[in-house]
Amino acid sequence: MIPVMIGVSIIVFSFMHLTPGDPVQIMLGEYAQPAEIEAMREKLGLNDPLPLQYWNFVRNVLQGDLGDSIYYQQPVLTLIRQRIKHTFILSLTSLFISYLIAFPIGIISALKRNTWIDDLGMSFALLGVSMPNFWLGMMLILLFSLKWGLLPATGVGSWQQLVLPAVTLGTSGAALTTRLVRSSMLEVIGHDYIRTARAKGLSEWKVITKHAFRNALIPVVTMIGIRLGFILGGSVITEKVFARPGMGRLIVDSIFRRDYLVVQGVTLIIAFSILVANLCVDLLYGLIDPKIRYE
Amino acid sequence: MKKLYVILTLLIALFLLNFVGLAEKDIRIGMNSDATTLDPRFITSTSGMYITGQIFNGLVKLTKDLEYVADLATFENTSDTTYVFYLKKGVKFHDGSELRAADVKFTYESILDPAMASPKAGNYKNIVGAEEFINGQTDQVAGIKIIDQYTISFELKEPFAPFLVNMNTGIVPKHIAEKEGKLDHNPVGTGPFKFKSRLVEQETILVANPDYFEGAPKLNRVIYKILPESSVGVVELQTGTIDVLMDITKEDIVIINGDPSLILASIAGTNYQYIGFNVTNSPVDNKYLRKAIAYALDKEAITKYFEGSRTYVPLAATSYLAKEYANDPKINKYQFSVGKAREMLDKSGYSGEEVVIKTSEGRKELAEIMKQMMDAVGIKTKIELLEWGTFYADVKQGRAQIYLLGWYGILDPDSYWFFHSEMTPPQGGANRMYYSNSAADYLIMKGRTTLDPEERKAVYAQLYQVLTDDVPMIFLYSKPDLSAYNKGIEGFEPAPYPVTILSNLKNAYWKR
Repeated sequence: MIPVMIGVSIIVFSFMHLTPGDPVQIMLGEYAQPAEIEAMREKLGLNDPLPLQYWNFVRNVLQGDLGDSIYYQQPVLTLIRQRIKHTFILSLTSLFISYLIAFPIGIISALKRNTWIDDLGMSFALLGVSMPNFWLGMMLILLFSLKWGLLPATGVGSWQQLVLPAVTLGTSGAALTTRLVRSSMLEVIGHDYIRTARAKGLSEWKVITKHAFRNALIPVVTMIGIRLGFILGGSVITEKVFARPGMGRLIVDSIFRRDYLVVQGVTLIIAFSILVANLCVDLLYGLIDPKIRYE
Repeated sequence: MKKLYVILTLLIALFLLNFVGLAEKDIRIGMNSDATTLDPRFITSTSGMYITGQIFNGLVKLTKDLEYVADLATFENTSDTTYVFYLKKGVKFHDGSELRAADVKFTYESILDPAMASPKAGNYKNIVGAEEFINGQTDQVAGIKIIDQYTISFELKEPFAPFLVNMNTGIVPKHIAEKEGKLDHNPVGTGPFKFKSRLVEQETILVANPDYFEGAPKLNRVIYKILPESSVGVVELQTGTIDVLMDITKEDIVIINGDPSLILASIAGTNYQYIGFNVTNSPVDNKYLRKAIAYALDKEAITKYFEGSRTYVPLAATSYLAKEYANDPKINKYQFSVGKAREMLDKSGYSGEEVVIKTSEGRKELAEIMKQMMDAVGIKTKIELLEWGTFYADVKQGRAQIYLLGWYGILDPDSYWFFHSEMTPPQGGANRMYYSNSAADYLIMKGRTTLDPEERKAVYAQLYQVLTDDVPMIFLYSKPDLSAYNKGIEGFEPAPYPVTILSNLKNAYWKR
């Protein structure tokens, strides 16, 4: 985990500093005088050599300080703290929704392979993947907020405000997961032990839930780790459309503002979260498949 | 039992009435970005101004007709270089302390303090003693003198016509700002609304200041909500989740006009959109090529397409000065003419080199229109579309031939920042054309030190002749300043940026 975090920090630090554009100029605006720009650069340590800036960054991180945002003039940790809760709530809810949709459709499609039910399920998957989040979000807002007035379009704080963004993010995730569940189930139900289970006289429900589904779960669970990483940093469009203050929006806005320390800080937190999620996924393998053991 | 029903019904009715009453005392304002700070000494963003304009007052303020009038102080010019401000008595900060001249002096000195690194410092360097204070030679600015508790004077090094433009910065209380430094967490001002709470990039809540020196506002609370996606902002306005939307796009206008519950406040803007040339970069270092491009572009058609008002000089199209200059035959308007464009092209000796237009996403469409028109007269044109930060850095650092930008909040014809050779990067300033002409420099300096309005107008007429002959910029059009609000709100008046409809927020109320 530590080498990965060091690698991530070096890559992000280098890329941000190689990108053209001066954060002080962007922050101080059009009218800034060179003396003011210089004073601000000095104050923020941006005139130091890059290796020294990197070392200062790492040293501060080890002391639990991610530095101060150039743009907001606030500690990066404060900015993250204000947003991380909303991002995690949205990520986990949308993951839950995507699996809630994907499992039944994927399993039924696999069981009814090459029937109209399968075609319908796969059409949903194709539609889900094809619909851009921005478009879907806008459509949901137009229907549920503007037309029917059932749910609020923006903001955070109540469960009602979570529904539309979570469904938007969850739908695209569900589409991918549905295909994965289907193919994984198809592979499993072709195995001999499923035929044996059926030959033993077990009910179809038991064959599917106890024997087939559990074994089909491994690739699906692997997907959780990947999806979580994607949602944590990649939900920027959804956060923007639904005006949710989140990590995705913070990182993208900060890239445009060249707010180095925020980008570095948020990336480290996201990378750490993904590593933890993947660790949890690895541990889950053992629960799903008793054959898997960790030495 | 019957009695109980009656009591219950009455209680419910009372509760509902109370609820309705409360709701009608709030206004929720949608903005597409949040303020980076709530301290008026540091604010450069529009959203910052929308919020702090309600918390703080300046010495003077702009009316919707863009005239400076007294806000916290009346003022007079006692000489060409001295302005005396007489503070209104009994004006209280939100903590109950009275506004004094010491607060004004502190506010302006802290802006000039290099340790504070205020982006506004450059606006006040023409005050006597400002340079010495910045360099650490003195601990006070000699030109800012407290005459008595309610009187303060500003002495300038030389006459400076646009001086009042910078005197509307919010005044902060010395006793608080001295301790806290930047007033970000709990800004205390003299304005009609007091700071209540803030969640960065979510919402900022202000409550009415009952002791406001011009009378208590009619509203109880003002809630600023951040809605980064403009199309969602309109939906929120339609559903009543917000009552005012400050940032309107061209696409939103149709929806707002089609909704009978909404009012679109549209007024001629204080901006101008332009095409800039870096006059030091080949091939646009050739004046005749720049003239050829100016003739090749159908600027009237471009203006119509973008629903703007045509301007021929670096002023907002609708300012009375711009209108007068538009009729000046000595100022070249570069009326669209393919023949003249070809004539200038021949004169320039242009031999088919590629001309590059650099732009960011926001002005991509303009670049495409330009390319078509320039290609049509035989100028080989290429568009380079860049992300804003990269584009802006390239322009500032001189890595551009043609670039597309606009200036906002143009309230005075003073062109020092934009056209004077001293303002060429990297010295600072905004002469991103790297333009240098001693005649223009002379006229620019004369314009800012001439106080008589008629004399000043004549100076700028001469300057615009020089500028339009050199063509470091092609002036295009001014965009209207737009905002929208619920029809139920009474008291708003359309006003251009930086005044906006919010300047009258303290008098706004919900119609019953």
